[in-house]
Amino acid sequence: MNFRQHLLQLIPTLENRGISCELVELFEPILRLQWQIKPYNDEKNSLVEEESEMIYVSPDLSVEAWIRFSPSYQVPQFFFQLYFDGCVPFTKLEDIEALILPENRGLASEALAIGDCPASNGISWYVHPCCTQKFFYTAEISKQDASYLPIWILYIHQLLSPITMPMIEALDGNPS
Amino acid sequence: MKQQRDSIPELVWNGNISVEIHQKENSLTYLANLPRHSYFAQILEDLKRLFAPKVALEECWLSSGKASIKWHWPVGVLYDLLSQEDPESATSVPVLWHLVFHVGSFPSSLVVPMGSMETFRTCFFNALKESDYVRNGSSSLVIALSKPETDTYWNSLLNHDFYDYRPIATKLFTSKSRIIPLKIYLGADAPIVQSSASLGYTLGQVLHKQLPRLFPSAVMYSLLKPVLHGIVLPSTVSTDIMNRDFCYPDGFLHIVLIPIST
Repeated sequence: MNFRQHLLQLIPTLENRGISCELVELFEPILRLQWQIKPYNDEKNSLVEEESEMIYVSPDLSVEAWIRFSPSYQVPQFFFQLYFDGCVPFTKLEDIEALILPENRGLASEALAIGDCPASNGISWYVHPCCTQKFFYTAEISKQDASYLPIWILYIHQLLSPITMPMIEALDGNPS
Repeated sequence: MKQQRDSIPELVWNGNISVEIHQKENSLTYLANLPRHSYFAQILEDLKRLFAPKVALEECWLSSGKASIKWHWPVGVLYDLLSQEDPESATSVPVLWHLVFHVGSFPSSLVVPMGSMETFRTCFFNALKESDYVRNGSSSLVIALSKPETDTYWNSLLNHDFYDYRPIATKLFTSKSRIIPLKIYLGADAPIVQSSASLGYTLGQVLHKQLPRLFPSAVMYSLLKPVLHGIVLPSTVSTDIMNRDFCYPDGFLHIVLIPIST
């Protein structure tokens, strides 16, 4: 099973959960994903003031992500960009970390970097493939295994939860 | 290691681009000859001090025409890509590349904000480790560099010192590996094609294999031609020579494709 076939297998599962999927094939197969989630917040600032007429609800977080097979490191690579308003992406690691569960922030800060997006002329965050390699050494999953990408997504979710929760819900068979 | 003066690697190292940088509604101008293998990150602090000393570095950025300058790409790659100048039809008029310095309205979807030189150093060494990984299946050569070697390599880039740079580059780029890492640039609005090539082939063969629709022949260029360090490389040049003489300090061969003039 080649990587393109792995991506094609993943698409219906993700789409069932309401994740927008597009397979882009310029010079390599890249799966582009989009979804929205309620952002995690330590202070739980999504609240309703009963005494006041003011209501503050945290805006949805738009996630744009790309999955490709790293030509350099020969492992799946996860790129992503986050927006609150659909226009201005996050560029500071601490802003990304604030949206991740506290117990995962240490791992995430070691694994995340920002650089060239493989599907555009823009930039995006990515999980460093070196860290992914360490995961595959211990997981001992064959590239031919149908669960190759789903298990890798579990690893990505370990770093980025709850941003990637829709992907996990999709793999668990929970519709949107 | 004794270096032969005016060797091809040294000539490539000494290739530079003349730049003129100004800021709108500011009478000051920054003029410099920037080495092709250097990065705009290296002068961003100087530009900020000149044009906007009270502004945070991460709010500063450059543009060339409508394109935002990616400070983590080599100057020479950016010039070849954005000018689309054909070296084979260049006039005798010296190049002067005009850029504009900006503060605010940062193009955050296109350019990584540079908080400090440490941001640039991290970016550069990530690229160097990646190119090492492509060559050798691990980043062990780069990781095994001693701290003095790492600092010497970094400072040789900052100080434009070929004789400090070359021995370490030779150690990193001419190991027993027969694979070389490539980044191919198709246009300012296109993603980078990241790939690798084996030693023992010609550039024409590599491009024909990687991009057969753009290079239908391994011998003759018909649609696009490859520019590396401002030079159109013939299809017959070997990947061995390219790896030995034309790698950028991050270990990659950065090849810009330009249309063939009709």
